[in-house]
Amino acid sequence: MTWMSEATPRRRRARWNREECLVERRNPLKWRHAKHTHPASARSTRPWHEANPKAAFPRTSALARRHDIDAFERLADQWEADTAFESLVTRKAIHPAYQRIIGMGEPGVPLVLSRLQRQPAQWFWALTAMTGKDPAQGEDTLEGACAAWLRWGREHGFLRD
Amino acid sequence: MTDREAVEAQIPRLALSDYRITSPKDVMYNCFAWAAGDTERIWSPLMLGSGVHWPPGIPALASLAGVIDAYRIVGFERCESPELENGFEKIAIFADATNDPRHAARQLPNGRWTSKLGDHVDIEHAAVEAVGGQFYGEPVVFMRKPTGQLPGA
Repeated sequence: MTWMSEATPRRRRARWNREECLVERRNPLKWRHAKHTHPASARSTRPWHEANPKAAFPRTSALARRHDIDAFERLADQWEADTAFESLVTRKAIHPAYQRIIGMGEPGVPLVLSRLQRQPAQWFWALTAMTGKDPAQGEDTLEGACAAWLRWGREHGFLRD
Repeated sequence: MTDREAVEAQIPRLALSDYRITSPKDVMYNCFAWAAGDTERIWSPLMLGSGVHWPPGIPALASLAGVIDAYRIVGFERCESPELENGFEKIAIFADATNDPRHAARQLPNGRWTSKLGDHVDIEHAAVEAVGGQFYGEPVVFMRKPTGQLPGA
């Protein structure tokens, strides 16, 4: 009987982790802003993303995060070089490298915003696709849209001040 | 690679043409805005996101008809030729083999043409078709707008 009483909390912990992982994967924004806390830091009142500022890629190790950052920068460099002479944003947005960045989904958002902060470019299509939001709606200049997205990124924990 | 080398690598016809670079790279406006005299915004139809200008009421599809309509809204009308006409400012719209709009250039009062090359530099070129070729296609539509200057003045 001893093994039963030991196994139950372990199973309960495993189930909690599985369910929360699913919540996080399906709706990371909800996870981040619902003030969920991991059991290990249950006493903390800080939102998860504030307690884990380096967890833009929460799924694996620091090495994998580095790999994702390098992959993003390579794709972004390739996109900028290949589309520098394109006139229409619609043509820029269908470039395969841009589409692969969109495919990174929400974990890639901090990387896009960080790049936007360093170097204004047409990342708004990608950001809208990756987040389902458009905080720059109505902005018809690159400068205005950049400012709106960077403000949104800070407010939602994707960018540090 | 210098700006000139980058430009000629992308648009080989320019290497054999009379042209000069007239501004540094600038991502804040594109050729369609530059042709209309706007250096503050990027003119582009857009299906998702924001940060560009496209005249209200024009479908947000990258079609030649849509680009023509966008210039109509700011006072241009279609004309037959790229020849300099006193009292008119002209623009040329380039399209590729599938008739998709790719570029626009504006005629200067001296008869030469000015083009913004994507996010890259502005250039001044003698012949309108100098920026044509595989990348931007060829000039297929010309439009003109009165400058306010009387013909013959």
